[in-house]
Amino acid sequence: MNGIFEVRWHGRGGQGIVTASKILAIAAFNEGFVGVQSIPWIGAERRGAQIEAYNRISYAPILLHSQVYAPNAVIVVDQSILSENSSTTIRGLKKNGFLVLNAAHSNVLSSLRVPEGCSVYVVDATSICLELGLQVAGLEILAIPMLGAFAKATDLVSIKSLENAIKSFFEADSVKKNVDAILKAYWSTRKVHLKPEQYLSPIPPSKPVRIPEIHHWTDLPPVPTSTPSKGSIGKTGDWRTHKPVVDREKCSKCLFCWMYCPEAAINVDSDGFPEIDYDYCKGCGVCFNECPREAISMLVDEK
Amino acid sequence: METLILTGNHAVAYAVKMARVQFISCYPITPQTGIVEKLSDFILNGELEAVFVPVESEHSAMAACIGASLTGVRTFTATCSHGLAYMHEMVHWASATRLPIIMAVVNRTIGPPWNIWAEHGDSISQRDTGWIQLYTSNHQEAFDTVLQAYKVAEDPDVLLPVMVCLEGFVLSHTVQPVVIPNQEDVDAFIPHEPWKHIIIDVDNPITHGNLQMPEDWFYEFRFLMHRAMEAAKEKIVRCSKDFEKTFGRNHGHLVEEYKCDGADVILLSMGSLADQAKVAVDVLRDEGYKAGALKLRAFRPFPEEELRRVAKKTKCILVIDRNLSPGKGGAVASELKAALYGFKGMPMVLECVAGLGGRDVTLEEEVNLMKQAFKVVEEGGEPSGIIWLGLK
Ligand code: SF4
Ligand code: SF4
Repeated sequence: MNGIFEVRWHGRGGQGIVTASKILAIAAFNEGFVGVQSIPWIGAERRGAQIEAYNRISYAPILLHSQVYAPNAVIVVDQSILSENSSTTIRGLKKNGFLVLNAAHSNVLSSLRVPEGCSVYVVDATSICLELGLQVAGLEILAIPMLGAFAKATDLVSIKSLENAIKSFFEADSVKKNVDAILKAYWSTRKVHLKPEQYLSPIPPSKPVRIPEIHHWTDLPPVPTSTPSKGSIGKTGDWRTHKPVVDREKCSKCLFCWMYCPEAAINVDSDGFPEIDYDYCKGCGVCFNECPREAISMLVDEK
Repeated sequence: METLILTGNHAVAYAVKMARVQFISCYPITPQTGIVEKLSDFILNGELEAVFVPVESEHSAMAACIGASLTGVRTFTATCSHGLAYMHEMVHWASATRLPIIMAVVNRTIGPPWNIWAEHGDSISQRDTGWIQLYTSNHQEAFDTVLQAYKVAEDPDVLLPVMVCLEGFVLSHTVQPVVIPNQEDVDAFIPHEPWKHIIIDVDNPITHGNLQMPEDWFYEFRFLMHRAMEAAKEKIVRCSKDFEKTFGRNHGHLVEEYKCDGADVILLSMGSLADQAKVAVDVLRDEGYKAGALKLRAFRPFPEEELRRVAKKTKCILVIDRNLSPGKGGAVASELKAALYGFKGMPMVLECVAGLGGRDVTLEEEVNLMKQAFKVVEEGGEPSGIIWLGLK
């Protein structure tokens, strides 16, 4: 390997990509790389929101401190992100790079477009987490098995180095689960064969634009203001991997859930029962956690 | 029009009254208290129709002013020293929300050791908050500058808050004659038109100050503040010229020159020492020295072009700073040197730190300092660090 190998992780808040990128940095260091870096992209801290993290791996010390724009590898731990916006996800991915995906549906894989020479690997990280009970606060820590998939795809770090990194990172009682997840993922990761028309020229590196109607400082007012609006950040329901469902038999109409919902996605119906607006419910599970009657269950969302 | 014999504090309070300020929130602190008391009197006896909100701290005073200013009313507060330091967070909020709040800073040392007397360090340490800072040299100037401050701050091209600075005790508690203009003239000079860029209205709710991600527009909003500061330079000059037309007084615009043409040494200072420097220059001229004095009125925005224009005329600028950044020196000297650096034909800069903690600076001391500077110039010497005035 010449120069710096750069990695970009895509996930949602709560799926462990920041932790996994730290573990990858430790593992790469164990592997003999002198320059390793893990960079969390700290955005609006919202459970369920899309987040990114980055790694740099090099044989020489790393002096760069900016974010990663042209990665050699992209790891997508939540497949809904890829189906939501695949060009944002693979933006800047280098030729001959790696795309490592969690259990993409076959229709996602067949519509996938990647830069020339890229290899695509998939693993069913969700099933591995469910099987091993690798969950925190109701969410699968999908990024951990993805470490195994990354190791298989790139050959940059060994299972041994990952295992040692896990040991230095977690309490003894959770080491086994995490190591097992990595091992299972390593052995079940497979390479996807793409058709020639699925290769394209690289998508230039860029940052997604959040406020598209403003182009230049001359368009700005002296002070930014906002007026209240519904769903100004889009349909946050698309972020959901788990769906809260209210059992009216158990519900006492206390409306704790309504009060705690960080997205104001719970309305009150004419009978006084909470009614979840699934267009905006992001599946964070706060209502599930707060309900004193255990009247809310979180079910895997089959969107 | 009448002339009253007023303390510096009361001069400020009279100006606030005549500006028809609608909202005041203050927390008293020595030596600013006289302003708060006089304004309370004005409100109590009906001379000023304003809401006065007493608060438990300076942080809250500024927060209250921000809230009031967001509704478009003319707003005032005053503080200094520890009070200003405590207010610091809200000082940023006011400017970044681009609110034309006026605050009198009755400059006082920050302890410890405990000390209530004059020093510019309190407002200088708010240098980077995005407030316009105007320093005044006497009671009349303090009065006039409050009126000018409202005109500049509320200009749609500026929309920045202003600190009007006057030294504690030296100006705040001494008395001098102050010409009080006619109310109609003041009303015509600063008619109140509520700003439009941000207005809180309960029927049309908005939020402001919301998150800007690094890739959004935060950087550009700061650029706009800087641009507004740059625009303020011209506005301060224009306002000061208009003021002279109406009221017949001129305190200099961004800087005030005194006998700088043909001067070999120019004494640059802010506040009361700048008034006194004019007398020192007269003394020196009588003795045959080619001396001049330069008053820095606006510290923010910093008038680089004007300073270079004056600097070109002389061989040496001697700066007296009534503030100290330990490990560097005085703020005015530092910034002056940065403004001159790299331009052709710039003079030597000598720096003196004096008058900290209210230590008195006499006319004789100013004269002797300048003589020291003349000696360095004559001998072809160069600067050799900070000159400490009367260090025991
Ligand atoms: S918190 Fe639970 S019991 Fe209370 S209203 Fe919500 S679902 Fe019903
Ligand atoms: S309804 Fe429940 S799961 Fe959905 S956003 Fe609100 S608190 Fe989170």
